[in-house]
Amino acid sequence: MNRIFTIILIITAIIVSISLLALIAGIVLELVTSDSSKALDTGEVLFAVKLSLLTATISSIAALLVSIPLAYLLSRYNFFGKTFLDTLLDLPIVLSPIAVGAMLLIFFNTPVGKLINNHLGPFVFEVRGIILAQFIIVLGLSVRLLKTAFDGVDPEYENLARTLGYNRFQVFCRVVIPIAWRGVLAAFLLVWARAFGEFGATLTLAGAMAFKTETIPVAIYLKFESTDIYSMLIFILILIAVSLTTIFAVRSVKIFHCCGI
Amino acid sequence: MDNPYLNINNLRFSIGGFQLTDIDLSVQQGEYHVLLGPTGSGKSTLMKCILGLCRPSGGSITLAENDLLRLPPEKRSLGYLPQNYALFPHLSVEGNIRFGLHSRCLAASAEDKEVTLQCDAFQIGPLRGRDVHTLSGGEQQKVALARALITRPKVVLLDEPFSSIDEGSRRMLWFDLKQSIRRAGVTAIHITHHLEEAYTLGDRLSVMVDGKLIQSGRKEEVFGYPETESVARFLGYRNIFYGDTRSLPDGTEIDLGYFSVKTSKNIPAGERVAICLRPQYIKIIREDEPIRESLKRNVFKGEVVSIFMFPEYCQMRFRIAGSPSLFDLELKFPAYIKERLSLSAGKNITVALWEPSIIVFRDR
Repeated sequence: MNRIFTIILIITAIIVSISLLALIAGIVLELVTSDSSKALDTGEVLFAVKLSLLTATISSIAALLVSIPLAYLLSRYNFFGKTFLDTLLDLPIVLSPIAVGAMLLIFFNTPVGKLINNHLGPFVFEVRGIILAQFIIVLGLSVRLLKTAFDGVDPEYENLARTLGYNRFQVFCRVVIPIAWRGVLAAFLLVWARAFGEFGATLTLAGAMAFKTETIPVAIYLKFESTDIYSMLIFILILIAVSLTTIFAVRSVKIFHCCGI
Repeated sequence: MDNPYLNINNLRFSIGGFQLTDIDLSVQQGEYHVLLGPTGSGKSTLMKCILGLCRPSGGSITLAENDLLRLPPEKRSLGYLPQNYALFPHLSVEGNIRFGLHSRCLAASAEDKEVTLQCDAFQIGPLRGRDVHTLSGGEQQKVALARALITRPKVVLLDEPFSSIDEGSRRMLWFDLKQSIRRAGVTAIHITHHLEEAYTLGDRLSVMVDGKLIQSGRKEEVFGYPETESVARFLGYRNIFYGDTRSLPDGTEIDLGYFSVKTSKNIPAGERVAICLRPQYIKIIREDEPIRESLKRNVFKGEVVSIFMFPEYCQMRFRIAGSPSLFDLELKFPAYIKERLSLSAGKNITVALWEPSIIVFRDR
């Protein structure tokens, strides 16, 4: 029975690995055999890569700055409405990104939204819209990951630092962040990767306009729409390469952490 | 006690279903006070209230006549040695010790001097550059104590400081710890559930059971004369029985069902009391020797049920003749007595209670 159980586990792992590798292999095979007569617009590729890097970086930094206090609050304090806030933060994670984008679009049609759009915007069909859409989508994920990182810091370190003359803010800066920095870095990388690949909310709020709101996922969509399969495959491979690199980086941070480095 | 240094009055705190009830505790300056109690009795919670990490719902805590409850933890001038030492993993040994100097606002050169002094005092100079993960339990304790004392606290609170140190190394470290605290001239409150540790280290002891501070006093008083049954049980006292009192011309008889115990104490008749017969004061009577006066009033014949051998003593279970119980009394005596009296299971012997050792708990 033990042997059969072990075999089932191994076979499942092999099937899943082969399936995922087959997806990537399919892309590479398709790229080799597809019609490359339509010349790849390197300018467009560079634009999409730059825009994706820029927007993902800004939105993830913004999400991190907002999430750090929120995650610490949820990790360390019990207060009225905690469950409500916790649930609310999960909403962008479980909600379809298109729905989130539509909610943002509708919000900017309200008086408050218009005011924000006029003073801090414009957001609709603009690069700012991409950043905002990515920010909203990754915020919940960012809070979740950071809360896990803060949960891993024994509160006894904070108690002790208080007795050594540090106030709460000093304890946070000099004890919590230095101990949890690997978790914070891993959270940033994962959030960044998620923002880099964001599509649904971006499409709804910022639209899909070449050389304007054309991030890599939007570029994939535009190329698919115009049946430019070769360019689409190039964009997909770039996305895969960025995602794999980020995941590898996250794993490395965690391995260093496990080794106590 | 005149002008206690640390004074806790009627302290109350509750969390979930647990509560600290009307805690009164006084500690003199320079005293090494041990707070003793079973796991879950509220010792650590009380310590957290003193440190300012838990907010009491009532009562007062004063240190050198200053109201501590008005101050945040960082302003209370208290040192803290947590159970797991909580050495900051992102700092070296020196970084950990230096971390405590923040509150003293010293110049860099003065800080260096202070760290060196502290390292010398604890003989941890060679460890200064070491990663805290590589330290042994004893070394971690020294670093954590050096970090706590470098702030020059008025009182240092030690929460089960030997819980992560193996039994064999503990005894030596007890003396090292107390010596370090004495040398620093700081008042200490030490939490433990370990009886031997408490007796060895404490100048005075307080016993906590179920969120209440039951008894405080000199260690000899607390260990020798527990005030309540719960303290006696925690201190490892055996042979605790319940019975009704009956007046005698020269004292009181306590009826325990199938046997009774006589004491010269005068207790009103008909009162329900608990009594404790301490195992080391139940004497085995040799038939060829006369019974001493202090043993004569409570003599029982019966049978040895079993004998357990320990490295330093023997523990024997004894059943009084006619008793329906598996055993009635536990006796404790030096190992050589077993050989000298040829004791073995099933042997019929006579035992007697040394009257001054009988403890009666009237308020249960």
